[in-house]
Amino acid sequence: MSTARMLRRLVAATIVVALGGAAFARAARPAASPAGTEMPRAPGFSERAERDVQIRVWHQALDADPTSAIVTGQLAALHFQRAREGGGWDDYLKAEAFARRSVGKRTKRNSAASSTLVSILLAQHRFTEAREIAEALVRAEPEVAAYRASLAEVAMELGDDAAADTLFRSVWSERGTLTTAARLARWLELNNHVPEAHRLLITARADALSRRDVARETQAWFHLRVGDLELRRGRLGDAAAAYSAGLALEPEDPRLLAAMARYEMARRNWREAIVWGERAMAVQLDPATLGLIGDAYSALGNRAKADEYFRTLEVAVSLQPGAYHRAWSLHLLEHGLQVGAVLEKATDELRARKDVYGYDIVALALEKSGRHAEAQAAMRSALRLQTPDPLLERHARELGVTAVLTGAP
Amino acid sequence: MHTLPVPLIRTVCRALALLLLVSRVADAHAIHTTVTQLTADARGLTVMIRAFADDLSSSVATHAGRSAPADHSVSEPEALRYVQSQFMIGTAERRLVTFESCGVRRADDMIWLCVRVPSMRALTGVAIRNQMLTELHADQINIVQVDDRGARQTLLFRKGSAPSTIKAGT
Repeated sequence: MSTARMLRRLVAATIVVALGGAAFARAARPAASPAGTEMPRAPGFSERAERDVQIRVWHQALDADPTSAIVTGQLAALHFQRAREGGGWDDYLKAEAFARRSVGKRTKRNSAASSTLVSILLAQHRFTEAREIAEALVRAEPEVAAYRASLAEVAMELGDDAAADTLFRSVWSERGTLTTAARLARWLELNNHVPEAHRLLITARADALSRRDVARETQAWFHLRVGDLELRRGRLGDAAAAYSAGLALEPEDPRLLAAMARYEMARRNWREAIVWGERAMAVQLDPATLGLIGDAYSALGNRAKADEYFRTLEVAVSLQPGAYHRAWSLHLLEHGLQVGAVLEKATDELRARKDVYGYDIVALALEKSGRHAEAQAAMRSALRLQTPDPLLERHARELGVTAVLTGAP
Repeated sequence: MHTLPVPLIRTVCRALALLLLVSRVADAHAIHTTVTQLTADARGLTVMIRAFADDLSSSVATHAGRSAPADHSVSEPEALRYVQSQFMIGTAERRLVTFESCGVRRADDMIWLCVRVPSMRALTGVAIRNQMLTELHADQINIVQVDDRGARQTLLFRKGSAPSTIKAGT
């Protein structure tokens, strides 16, 4: 295809996108309420409506040029972003399909689409496939730190500590960029370098908040990350401050609402935890939040209500496709339920994914199965990075394994 | 084969890069849900149901005896009949109420259905059972959040769940 022809196509696509601006202005206006009733807007993130319009407009661009790798790459990114902003599960699947179509159409100078595909696969917990794509990206463009950081993240999730360590060291000089800082901070925290992780996250959050080109959902996510780090190291006030700052940006962010529920649970404020958890659930249902609300009712002595949530959690998770759910597995183990099935699934997952939290579940399942020595061995693997997480510390104590942790301030 | 000029590609792809600054490992599970807000006040009982458009459109169409439209739309009268058949509200005197529609609104992949019972102004003792979309998904979970003049509670319904009775002052 000639450059002139491709340029014409691109210009056509750009005009469609430009016209979309006007469409957005119209679409963003609240719709008239039928029959005098005030209809609520779609729940979730503040820029969701903008994302819907962007997607519509880029689909029009796709109609104008169905073979464009650029347009399909854009649609992959937009559907992925909408999935994170409370879109349906279909958005992940559409994002993946568009990313694969873009990569299939053009490999040269189309690394962004491959990078998007890695993120989409990670979001679906398809770590092995993500690794293949990320490795190909790094092979093609080894000088790009963001791609090495992406591969490092995949290695971290798979529990390949040596590869993750090598790759993260290779991007240390790029720690000032948002793409690298967030991933590096998690690796530092996992390895018990909490003050460094904290500094990195605080700097990255400030950077994200100062940039007008960063989605508000992403800015809120940085508050969430800071809050979670503070919560894990026992600084509850700082955690609440971070979550509140995130909610000021995105009042309906279900991740932050659920985080507030966890914060109130940590303070043993069961009723407040229920209120926050139910607010989160109204936007997006998450099994961990169902379990948390059930636990809060249980702590209040309301056994009937707790059981209602636990039964719902069982239905929610038992029929889900794909990888088994760790939060649900932990819930089952801590309540002494389905121990054999959880052990089987967790052991199976460990074959491909050997991260510390995978070992933690296997350790707990082995312990509940009466296999104490094997449980202790698995727990030692869970503690191999000396990760300062109260959950790991508690399980280690229960199994009689000494944890060498210094996460507390 | 010619390729596009790099600066032009950079300009067009800028939004893509900015959206994907950081990767995030999400919770890898889709859960089938509807969320209903049930409010009792001086205007009566208002039931605002939020559901994914594709699921609701499919169920409403099947209930009406026709195939689902490609655009995942619903007709208001058919939606009302579907809600009436799947969402049960029984008075304290064990009488099933009849809804009237107060609108349907599409917001991209979601649909809001509004139904109302003008004669019902309080919820204490009322029995509720929401089985919407359970014929479509065995793991369907319907969340009903009740606001009875400021007193709030949340009810959960799965396939085959029994009715829940709203308690006073919860």
